[in-house]
Amino acid sequence: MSSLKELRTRISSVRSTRKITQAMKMVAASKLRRAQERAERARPYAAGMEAMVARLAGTVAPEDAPPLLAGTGRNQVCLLLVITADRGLCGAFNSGVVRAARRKIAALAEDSIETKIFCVGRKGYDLLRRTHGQRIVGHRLLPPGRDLPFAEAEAVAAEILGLFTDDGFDTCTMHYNRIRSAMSQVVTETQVIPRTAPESDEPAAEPDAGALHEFEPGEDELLADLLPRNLAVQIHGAFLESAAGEQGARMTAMENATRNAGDMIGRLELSYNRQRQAAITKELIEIISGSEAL
Amino acid sequence: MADAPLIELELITPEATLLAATPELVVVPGSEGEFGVLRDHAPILSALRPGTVQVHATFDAEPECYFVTGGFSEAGPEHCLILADEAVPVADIDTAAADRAVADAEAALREAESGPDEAARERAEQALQVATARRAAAG
Repeated sequence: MSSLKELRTRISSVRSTRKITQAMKMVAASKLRRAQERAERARPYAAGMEAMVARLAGTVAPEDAPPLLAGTGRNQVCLLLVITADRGLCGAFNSGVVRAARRKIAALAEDSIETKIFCVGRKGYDLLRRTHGQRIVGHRLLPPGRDLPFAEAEAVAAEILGLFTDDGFDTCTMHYNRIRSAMSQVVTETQVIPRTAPESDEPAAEPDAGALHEFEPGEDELLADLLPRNLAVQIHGAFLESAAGEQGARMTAMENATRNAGDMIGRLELSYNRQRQAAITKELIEIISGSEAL
Repeated sequence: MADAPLIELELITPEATLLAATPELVVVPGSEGEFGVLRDHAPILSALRPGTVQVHATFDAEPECYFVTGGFSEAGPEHCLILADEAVPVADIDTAAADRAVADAEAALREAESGPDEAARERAEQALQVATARRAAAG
């Protein structure tokens, strides 16, 4: 049994922890709103880009298609782009992505496909480095500050494209948290190289037959320009989703922590009061039995 | 022209939708040359070079100008979609900063030319093109 004084210090320490988690929750909530708005604002561009690529991809004969579109024709090495947060204290947010990546690596290993890993965000890198250190081909921290500039996604895309042109891998999948609602995130896997049409709710009503486009410059040059750009756009989209998801996850985690701290304070206070009462009763008994003995 | 046919214009950057309007005429800096988009334009998909997008609310009106560093544009009979890498209203360009950017880009290019890295030189050349176009757009 801990003494009354010990209990008092425990209670006050849990109280201040609760204050911190509560504050973190509130900060995460306001950051979440901003992050969601940013993700929202980036969507029209991604959608427009996707429509253009789809239109162009339709006009190019499959045998002339560049490797970014059609693949290298091999499937021996797969690059996993694992996007996590730089910071913890957000529940299973980071470990969920890492778990999905590990499962994917194991599954690919069974098909004797080699894997390489590119990490974005410190947490994922720290977690994967221990188990799959020799597979990691690169990693990158997220830029400090609230903004996730497009340039950052471009830099990552450039590194990945560099690897691709050097025959470093054949396919590339992206693992990240997509926001389903403010409170819940789903770990998502998207194949980015070779390109796949994103599964959308509305069926692709694009091919309006009459609209034969003129292309400036030619289809091939345009496609060669568009595809790397599209990769950067997809990565940027994933960054923004992941950033919003991180705040959402942190908000939930901190809310739980606040609640747990409250429960704990309740329990500690109960045992504190019990002990205090016991001490008083004991003293009373001592006094009474002392006076009776006289 | 009260009921002049309008086009639906959208100017979008990766970070935000910069402009959504219904002007009568848009002039787009295509990679193969500037082209104007009016209603019933033949469908076209074009890359952009660094330059100015001019948005004419009406034919006679002074255009609203946006500087774009590059990107892609798709136009059809009723719409014109511009996906710009970066875009700013011309009025917001800081002339002094643009001058400095040109000087910096020139210096970087000189440095890259003496270096052995082909890709770096190409990048520096592109950066200079963008900087020069930005300076020109600022007027």
